[in-house]
Amino acid sequence: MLHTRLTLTLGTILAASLPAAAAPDFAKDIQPVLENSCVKCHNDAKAKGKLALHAKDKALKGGDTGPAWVAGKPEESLLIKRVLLPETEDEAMPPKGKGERLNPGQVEALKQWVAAGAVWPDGVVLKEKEVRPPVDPKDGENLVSISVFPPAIGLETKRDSQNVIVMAKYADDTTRDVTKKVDLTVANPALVKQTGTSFAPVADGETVVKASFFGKTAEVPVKVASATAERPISFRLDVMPVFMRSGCNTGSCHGAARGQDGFRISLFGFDPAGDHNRITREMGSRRINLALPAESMMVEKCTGAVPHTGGKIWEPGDQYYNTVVEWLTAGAPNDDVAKVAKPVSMEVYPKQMVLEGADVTQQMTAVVKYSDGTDRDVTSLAVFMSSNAPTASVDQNGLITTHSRGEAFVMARFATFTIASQVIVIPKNLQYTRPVVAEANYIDKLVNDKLHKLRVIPSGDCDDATFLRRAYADVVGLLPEKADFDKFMARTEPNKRELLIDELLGRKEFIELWVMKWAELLQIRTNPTNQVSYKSSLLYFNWLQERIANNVPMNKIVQEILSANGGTFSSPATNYYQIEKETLKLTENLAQVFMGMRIQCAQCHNHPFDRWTMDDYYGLAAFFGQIGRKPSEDPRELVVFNSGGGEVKHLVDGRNMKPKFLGGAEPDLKPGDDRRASLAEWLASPQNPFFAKNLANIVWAHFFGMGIIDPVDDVRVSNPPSNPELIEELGKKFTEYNYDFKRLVRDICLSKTYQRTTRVNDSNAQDERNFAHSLIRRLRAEVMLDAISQVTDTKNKFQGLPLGARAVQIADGNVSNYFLKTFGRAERATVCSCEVKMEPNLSQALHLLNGDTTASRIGAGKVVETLLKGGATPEAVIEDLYIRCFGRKPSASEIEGLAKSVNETPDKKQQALEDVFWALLNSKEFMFNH
Amino acid sequence: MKRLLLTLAFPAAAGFTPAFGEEKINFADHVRPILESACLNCHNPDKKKGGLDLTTYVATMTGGSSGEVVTSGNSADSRLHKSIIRPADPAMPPQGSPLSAKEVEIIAKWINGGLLETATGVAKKAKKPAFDMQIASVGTGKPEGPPPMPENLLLEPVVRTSRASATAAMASSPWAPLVAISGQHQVLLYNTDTLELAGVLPYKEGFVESLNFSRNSQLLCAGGGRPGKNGKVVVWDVKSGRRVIEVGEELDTVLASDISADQVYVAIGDSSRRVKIYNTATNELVKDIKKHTDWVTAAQFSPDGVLLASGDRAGGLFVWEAKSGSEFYTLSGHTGGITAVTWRDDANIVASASEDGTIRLWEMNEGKEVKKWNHGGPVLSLNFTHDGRLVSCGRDYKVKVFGQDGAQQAEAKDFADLPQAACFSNDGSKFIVGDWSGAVSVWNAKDAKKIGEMSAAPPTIDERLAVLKPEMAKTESTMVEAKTAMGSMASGMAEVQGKMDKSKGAIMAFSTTSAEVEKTLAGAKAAAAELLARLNTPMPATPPAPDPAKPSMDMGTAVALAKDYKALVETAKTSVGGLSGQIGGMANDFKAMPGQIAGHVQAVKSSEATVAEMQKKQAEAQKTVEAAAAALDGHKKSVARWEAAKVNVTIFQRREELAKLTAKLEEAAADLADREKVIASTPAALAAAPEPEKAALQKKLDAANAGLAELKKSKADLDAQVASTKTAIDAETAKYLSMLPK
Repeated sequence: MLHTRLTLTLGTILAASLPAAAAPDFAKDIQPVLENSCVKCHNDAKAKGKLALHAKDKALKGGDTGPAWVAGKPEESLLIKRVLLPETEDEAMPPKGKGERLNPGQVEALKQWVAAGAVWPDGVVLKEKEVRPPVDPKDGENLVSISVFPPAIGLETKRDSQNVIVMAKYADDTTRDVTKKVDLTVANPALVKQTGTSFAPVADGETVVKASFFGKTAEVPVKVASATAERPISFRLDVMPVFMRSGCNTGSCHGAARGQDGFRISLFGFDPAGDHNRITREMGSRRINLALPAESMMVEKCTGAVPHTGGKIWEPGDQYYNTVVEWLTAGAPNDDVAKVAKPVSMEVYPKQMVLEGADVTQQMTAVVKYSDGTDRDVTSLAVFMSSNAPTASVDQNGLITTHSRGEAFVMARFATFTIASQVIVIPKNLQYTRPVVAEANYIDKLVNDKLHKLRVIPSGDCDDATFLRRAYADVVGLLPEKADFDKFMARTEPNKRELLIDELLGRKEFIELWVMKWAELLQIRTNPTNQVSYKSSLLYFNWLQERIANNVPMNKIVQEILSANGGTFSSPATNYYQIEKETLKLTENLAQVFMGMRIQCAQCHNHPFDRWTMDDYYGLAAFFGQIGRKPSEDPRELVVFNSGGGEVKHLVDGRNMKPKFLGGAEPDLKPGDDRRASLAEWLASPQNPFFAKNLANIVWAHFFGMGIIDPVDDVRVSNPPSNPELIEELGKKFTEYNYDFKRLVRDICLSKTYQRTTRVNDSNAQDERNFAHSLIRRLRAEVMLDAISQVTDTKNKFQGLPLGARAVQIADGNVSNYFLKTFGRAERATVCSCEVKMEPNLSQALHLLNGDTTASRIGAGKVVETLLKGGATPEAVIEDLYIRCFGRKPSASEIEGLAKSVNETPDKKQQALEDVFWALLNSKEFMFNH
Repeated sequence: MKRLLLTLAFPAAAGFTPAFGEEKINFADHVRPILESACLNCHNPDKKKGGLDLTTYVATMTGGSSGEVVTSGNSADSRLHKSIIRPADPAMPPQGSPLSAKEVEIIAKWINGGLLETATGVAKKAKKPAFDMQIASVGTGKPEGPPPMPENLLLEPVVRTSRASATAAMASSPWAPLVAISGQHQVLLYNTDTLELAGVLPYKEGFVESLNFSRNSQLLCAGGGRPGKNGKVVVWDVKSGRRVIEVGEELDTVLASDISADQVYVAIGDSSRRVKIYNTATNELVKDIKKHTDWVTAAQFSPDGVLLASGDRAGGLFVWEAKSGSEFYTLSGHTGGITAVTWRDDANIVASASEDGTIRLWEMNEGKEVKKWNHGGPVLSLNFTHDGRLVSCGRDYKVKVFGQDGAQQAEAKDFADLPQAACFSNDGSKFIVGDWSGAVSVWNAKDAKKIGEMSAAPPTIDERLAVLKPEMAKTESTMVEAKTAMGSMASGMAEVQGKMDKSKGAIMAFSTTSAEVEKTLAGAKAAAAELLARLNTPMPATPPAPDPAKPSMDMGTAVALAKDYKALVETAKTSVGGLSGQIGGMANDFKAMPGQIAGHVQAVKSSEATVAEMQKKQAEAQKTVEAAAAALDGHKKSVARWEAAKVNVTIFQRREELAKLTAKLEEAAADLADREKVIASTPAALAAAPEPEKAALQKKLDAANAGLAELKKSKADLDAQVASTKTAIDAETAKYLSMLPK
């Protein structure tokens, strides 16, 4: 109150004394103040408090609390009152933290100007003053180039505008966001209006936007079309993106199956027609009000005018509010689905950045292309997420801020697209020079390139003994025998590792290991509920083994499986369709196994973290719509054939779906054509961008314990490959090798990357995803059981297999034993890569300690007894055991210590040595491949 | 408690006395609105999170499971305050944005100011109805006397929008040609005979979602509110447009409401899943029925007032005893949300409509479904006529009239948008449909032919006048034109008449002339004939010479005689020739004459036709003038009516002012009375009181005296203002009545 009175008095005095002073000049005294301090928030686009101050009529129309001023009466003018309020008041302008307070001279000028009648020259429109940071000469050092994003600008209709981003690249491959620092100009300003870094159409034509920075220049073409045309607001193109951006249609809010508080819209907007109906007509007048759009419940909830569990999500006058209110004002029209443009692709820029230091920012921009050829800047409508916020976080406007060293993927989601960009954060002023590392082949080059970007130094080579054991376990699923060890260690050829790999690749155990892996993915197992008999699963397994053993290319095998017809006995590949009979399950398995994609989500709604829509899902499912199954003479056999009829219907609208390859084209199929044959041909071909890469990644993951995309069957935009170039190249090679994965294995095993030691250095200790060092991996269940049998000289007996068969050879997923179960052998109940459990747990440790697998086998195999009988000294026995179990000789101190304790009880040497054996089997070094 | 409040309140008032201008921070005016938007979603009697209900003053004072939430005078110690400032544990509200600094400050001030309930510190009295509305005996037939129609109601829309919004609710008066339509912050009453606006009932609380007339047509019951925030039922007296009941302090808009036939109860259904029954005399909640499992979307009392039917969004349908609120029947069968319930006049049948597409009829002896049929799509509205027909509309974009047997009798389609509400006119001859676009149309119930439209976003009086006045001017000019036309017609006719007379004269002249000519001709002919005869007489022969010797005459004489004769003959010849020429000319003239006469006759005939034509036109113009005069009269009446309506708007505004002033006056009077009591009683008490208590008493007395003069003055001011407002209202009412066209 006191304050008001004071203001009044001041105002009165001022008003009285005014005529003496010359009225301030608008352009000189007033415009700079408003442009510096007010227009940033009070403009057409933002209009905080519904007030815009960039044009006279807008200012006088005023905002929530009335017009900005009353000409001639500074004491009654809100503009003056607000700038005079103390900073602590909520209504003080500029608000705390949003700008500096006006100085007394500025306030005085405003007052006098209002008092003198607030003269505003006709047609003058104010623009936010660009606050450009001072030129920093450091930005020019080592500058290599600058790039402007997006690489081309299309401006269509009055509503359109595009913000550009300029990124500078430096000699050390780091990048900086220099958008606010560069000089941006339009070649032909008659066509395009520039506001800061934003460009809007003026007249049709083509021109360029030029950027220059420390002598480097870049330009992007601008094409303006329909510059003066109005674009009516569209429910699908304008309103629904607001729901997505505001989080309305997420699973935790109104996108939940039952909605929230009685209001449901489709999850991430998979059902626009249904959403329109629910918003406008489901509850008549409750949700929207066409007469008074701003008083619609939907609007009042979002602005927090009425209680909303989801909180206040729009500010009256902001972009989202305006879009929805404009749509309601227009009568909440639905789109003509036949005419409305559809988004066809999205790009996010920059695609890759290497940022130096913490608290560095980089703005992203997202551009969507539509089916009518137009594009739009959707940065303000996309949802941004970071895969690794501790390294690089992203705010809702797409501004990345760096934190600790590492790599993150920043994703933008809009409509059905999710696009990721790679962000690498390296410490500031890091002492780093790229090491010179030997490279065996393309794999090493690509891995090292990535490590260089991360400023990570790879570990060195492992020793021969480690390599030998690693290669045996990985390639053939066995441990090297003593003879193998001795032979390899004695070899002197410089390429002895290559020779070893070639030798191992030629062994039948190599085939068996991969047959087992495929049997897991194909779920080969007896299954009473699906009437999969032991006979048919055995036939299926044998068929697979025969194919792989004969080096049939993988694509041929997959094609044979998918297009298989005939009896499950006579044509075992048909078992694929007996093991799984549900069309949708078949579809999902197909995508997961052969393309590494989990598309299950898209059964009920568009995939939330990937590009797959329900249309994609049911389009793929349609390939399995015409599978015929009939019994054969043998009740255990089923005959699979192409029935030539049957359709798969879309869940939402029940329409028949045309078969469409996932992410590909619609094949030209005639009625009666075998849809599966067409699918098989496409799936295992270079036309399918996922097949080769996926198989290569599965192979890769086997040798590194970590996929380039990990897990291997969760390929999605939001789970990007750690090294896109590498997986691309592996896929390409695999195709070049005619899908012969043996050659791919050879490339991998010969790479320096595979042969790295597990020892880490300072720079790569934290890294697990970029193969800077080898990972310590537990032996998988089958290999471990086989290894135990191998080192203890004992034999296993599995159902259906001869005594002494290896666990790797088990055909039926249902055949198992306690050991295999405990160590996480795949049950083959699903196609998930998670079926094989590699995590150590307590029961595993207890079983090895106390179970019959170790202790009794040590006794039964009589290894120690035989050695002793053969006249070996305890030291020799210990060395033998070490080589058996660890693939290396014991160190001097090991042998000394162990021999000492064995020799302490000369009468119980065998038992003592067997205890040593037991201890070795229980050691981590045995259980892990390192 | 009350005394404490008084003492606390008065020093504040004494320090700086803006009379009654500055309101003290109190629960009703300041705190409750904050709680409403931030807290009541969870802390309401239905959810009662943490055992805490903050919807009323009493409940707030009671506190929650962990005790009191406010400590008078000590905001720092009050849980309510502690939980809304950051950081806090538990932080309230748990989701959404925290309270603004201003809101927190208001709550702190309220707590520190002694937890006032209202500005005066006196608990708000429940609003008493303006008159006793209870009806002694309820008859289901037509009540005696003329059915109530709105008289002198406000005709100015509270809100004028360029577009109407979806018709949320509609109800038809049972016995008067009147329909109520939900509008924007208002209910519109239309005459179903004239389709004219009959009244505007402001509903500033929000938007009306449910409408029902009382069974005797006297009252209109409207439920609504601001979705997601609050809900209230308002009942108006149809004739006077006065609000007679306001009940419900709901936390969401009222979706279903009705007033019982005896006008004792109002039932409310909303998203709280409760059916609440309020007593209209005390405004108290008398029954809170917790059986519905979803939003209560339909409710209607039976025409005899004994039962209440209600339906919910999950398809639950129940019948309750209106008085006890106990369950009477569960009517199970619907598989989709109930959208409407409607009773047959005899209260033996209740009909329900549902999103499941069915209309079902249930009898009340055993609560059995007696009839079921499909509307043709999910049903959105259903209403009975007195004679037992039903009108329904649904998502098939059709409105259908059914017999009780389910047989379709009429069907209307081609609506601008989804029809949302449909009801019959009171006599059942028409049905009225409101659709999603807000268009309201009237249809013949027999053949489903469209009769007309009513606007759910009616123009303002000024807009009406802006249309009416030019129209009136146009009518006026039409009349002037017609009159001018009549004048010019009269003069034109005179002219034609003159011409005709001339022609007639000419005809007459011709006939005279012709007789004369004939006569002359005859004379000429005779003369000519005589002359000719004479000419033809032979010259006398020369007499025989009596004596040749003796000539009878001399030769000379004879010769002269002969010469004369010849001359004579020549002259005669010439005369005859002239006569013949004359006769020929006359004969020619005579021949032309009939043609000329015919021309004249023709002219006369056409003139006669022209005159007839003109006479006809004159008659027409006369008619136009008469019609225009009538229209002008109508326009004038309309203009007068709307001009009067404008005055009526001010009367309504004044009435509102008066109500506010009266309330203030009452407050001031009560305050004054309190103080006077203190002033009167304290001195004696002071004298008698022991020393230690004296200071307190003196303080009390001082407080009572402080600002007493100002208080008295402001009361007197208020008195004067009330009086002047009343006078103004009277004057304006007189003016209004005088302006009304007779």
